[in-house]
Amino acid sequence: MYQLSDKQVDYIFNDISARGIKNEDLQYNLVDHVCCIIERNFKENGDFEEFYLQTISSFYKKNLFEIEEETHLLINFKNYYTMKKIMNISGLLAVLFSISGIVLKFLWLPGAGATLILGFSIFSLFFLPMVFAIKVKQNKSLNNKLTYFISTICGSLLTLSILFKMMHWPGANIMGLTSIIVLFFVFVPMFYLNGIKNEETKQQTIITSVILILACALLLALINVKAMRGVNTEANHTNVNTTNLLELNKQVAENKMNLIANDSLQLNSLKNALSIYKNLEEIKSEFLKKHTNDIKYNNSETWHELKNISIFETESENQLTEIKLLGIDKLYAKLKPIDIKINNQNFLLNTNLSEQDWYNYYFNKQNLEQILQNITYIQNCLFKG
Amino acid sequence: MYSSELLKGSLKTIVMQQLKEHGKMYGYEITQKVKEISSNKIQLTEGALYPALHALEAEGFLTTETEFIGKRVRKYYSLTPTGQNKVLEKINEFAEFVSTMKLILQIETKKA
Repeated sequence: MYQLSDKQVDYIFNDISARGIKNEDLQYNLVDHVCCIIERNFKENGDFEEFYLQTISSFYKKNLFEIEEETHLLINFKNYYTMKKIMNISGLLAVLFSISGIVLKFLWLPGAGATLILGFSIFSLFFLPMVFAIKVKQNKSLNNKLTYFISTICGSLLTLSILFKMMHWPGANIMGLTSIIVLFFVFVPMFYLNGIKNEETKQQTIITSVILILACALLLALINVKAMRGVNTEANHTNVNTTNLLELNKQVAENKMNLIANDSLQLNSLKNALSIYKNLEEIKSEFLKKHTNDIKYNNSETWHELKNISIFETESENQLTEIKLLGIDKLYAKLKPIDIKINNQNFLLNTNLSEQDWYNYYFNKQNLEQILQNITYIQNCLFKG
Repeated sequence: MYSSELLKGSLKTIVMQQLKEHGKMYGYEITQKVKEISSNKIQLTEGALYPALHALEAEGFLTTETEFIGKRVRKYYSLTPTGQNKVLEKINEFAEFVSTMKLILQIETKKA
């Protein structure tokens, strides 16, 4: 058996390294393998270099580096399958939680919020990033990688913005608007230009681009940009009438106060009503400010704004607590002394309802617009009779 | 000698079975053992063997220890406990595959 010198081992090591094998373990394996073959088959009087080159060339088809490439591919393929598994599981969980959340929400059952948070979060924080990682692995083009990156960011942001909007968390509008703008002005043009070049994907690219543009336009149409900037819009005539009527009632009550100045009992009742009216006006303003960030409560114009934003607004189980915190929890007791009776029924405080049911009826599980309308209704009732 | 296409799917099973039989082995030793058992019909190429060994190690089925032979380093591979279980699973799977292939290709019938 031939004995290799240290110099010859170094020569083999350097050559294997020069041929592109950078993985240290693979270098050791290949050097040892070549050395074993040489030691067993090389004749003492032969040409070492020629024998070595002959041996090493039997290791590959085009070049030695392909062994390292194959190793890299096999190791990464293991991650690839794990990633695919995570993607499938997270996708399934996102669908299950989202559907359950929506069903719970439609049926007004508890746990809708938590289930939806889980579903949307899994979708945007696990499923979409995993899809991105897999697509990036499959595709080597930098342009495609960038397109996948932008679409993932936009998709995640848009989902989170809808979740934030549903949960009345701050930052929903800015997230939603940013994602739609990036989708519309960056992703769609990139997607279109990438896809149109290839004859096979040309038709599909055009169709998908049109659908994407329309989807973006529809989403943008739902966002009231002026409301976000806090700019007043033109008054809505129907609602102007409602609020004007309210103002008128208030004025009539004030005038009545002058007329009945001598009747202390009626005067006190009216004073109470006016104080409750002002109190409710403040509650509406606070509640609106809390839930819309920017919209200032401004009578007639606010109703117009609400028509636009209420599309996204949904009821929250916490609203009754929130509105109580604003001071409405003593309303029942305040209304009781001034309540009027029509046909033996209490007008303000429906006698069929207990105090808790009365609060639930007016303020719980209602959307923002409904709550404000209910408060306005109560304000209006204050001056009846 | 069998084609590399035929060997590709069973390479990991062959390697793991050798390690199960002989304990720790190094790359060249595995190729020689397989060559010997198969009477030269199966010759594992370096281009297929080492990527498979590295992948099996990354998957946690193999463990390595190194030994210095003069100036060079020799890596010995052996099965981990997970690898020991996996090799049985792989052999069973392969046996089932062979019997299915026999049915599909009607190997018994042809012989008769």
